[in-house]
Amino acid sequence: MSARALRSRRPSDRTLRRWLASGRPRRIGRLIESQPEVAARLDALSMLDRAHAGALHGVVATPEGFDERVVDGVQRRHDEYTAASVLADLLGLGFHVGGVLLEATDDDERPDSK
Amino acid sequence: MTAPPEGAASDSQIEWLVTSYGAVLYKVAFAVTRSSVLAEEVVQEAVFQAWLSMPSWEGDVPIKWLRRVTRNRAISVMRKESRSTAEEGLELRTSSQPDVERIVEGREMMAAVEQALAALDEPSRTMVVLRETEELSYDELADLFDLTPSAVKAKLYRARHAMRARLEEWDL
Repeated sequence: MSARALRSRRPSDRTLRRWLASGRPRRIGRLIESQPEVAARLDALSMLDRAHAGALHGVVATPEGFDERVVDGVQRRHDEYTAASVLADLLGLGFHVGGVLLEATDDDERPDSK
Repeated sequence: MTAPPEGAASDSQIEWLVTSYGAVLYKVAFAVTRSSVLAEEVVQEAVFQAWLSMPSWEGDVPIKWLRRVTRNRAISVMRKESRSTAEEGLELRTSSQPDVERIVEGREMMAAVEQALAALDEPSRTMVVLRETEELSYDELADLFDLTPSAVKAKLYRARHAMRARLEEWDL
């Protein structure tokens, strides 16, 4: 295997860092799929250090009282949803009763119903 | 996946959903919105949607579906927010420098990491958060973002590198 072919198969750390910063050379992106070793090196080169990773946990941690506030908010939505469903049922019932009454009235007006 | 409590009243089902999944859904929502207030609203909506569809789950909690619903809801909220902030002439939190007040408060590392995270684009931000704090696999991330695992890796590596570079620039 030629030296050039070998280089293309195993990019240097410098090349990998350049790709991380700029996305070039583009072939590195393609090597992630075909060469697990390249993916592993990129993973290692881009790893956050322990302090930064720890701080990230703190940044995205739920704020104090989160669970209670979310439960309250969901309960509120739930109550509104239930109330809207009841209203919809009542409206539906109203239309149904109205329909039955109209039908009965129509029947009363028929000549043969007298 | 975990099974929800059987035959429980709706109140305890809601509490169970929030206790079990609230934290991870908050991370998804926060990564998209960069606002704890908006993230909480998004989680409320996602949990409510989850509670509504619980009868169709047949025992297991579809966590993939929950993450997706949360992310989509958060994106939708951000679209509305960016429209209203544009109308008000305000800027979203995408400053390229750490917030001085928070540094003075002695929380410089967290403030800097938050700002470095905020400077990433949205898919990258959520990928970094879910990979680094929830240890989601590349396959799980690929499913959430409709990408191949290789594409997820490429975005994730470059996003983490950008965060590192920014933090180094700030000597943190």
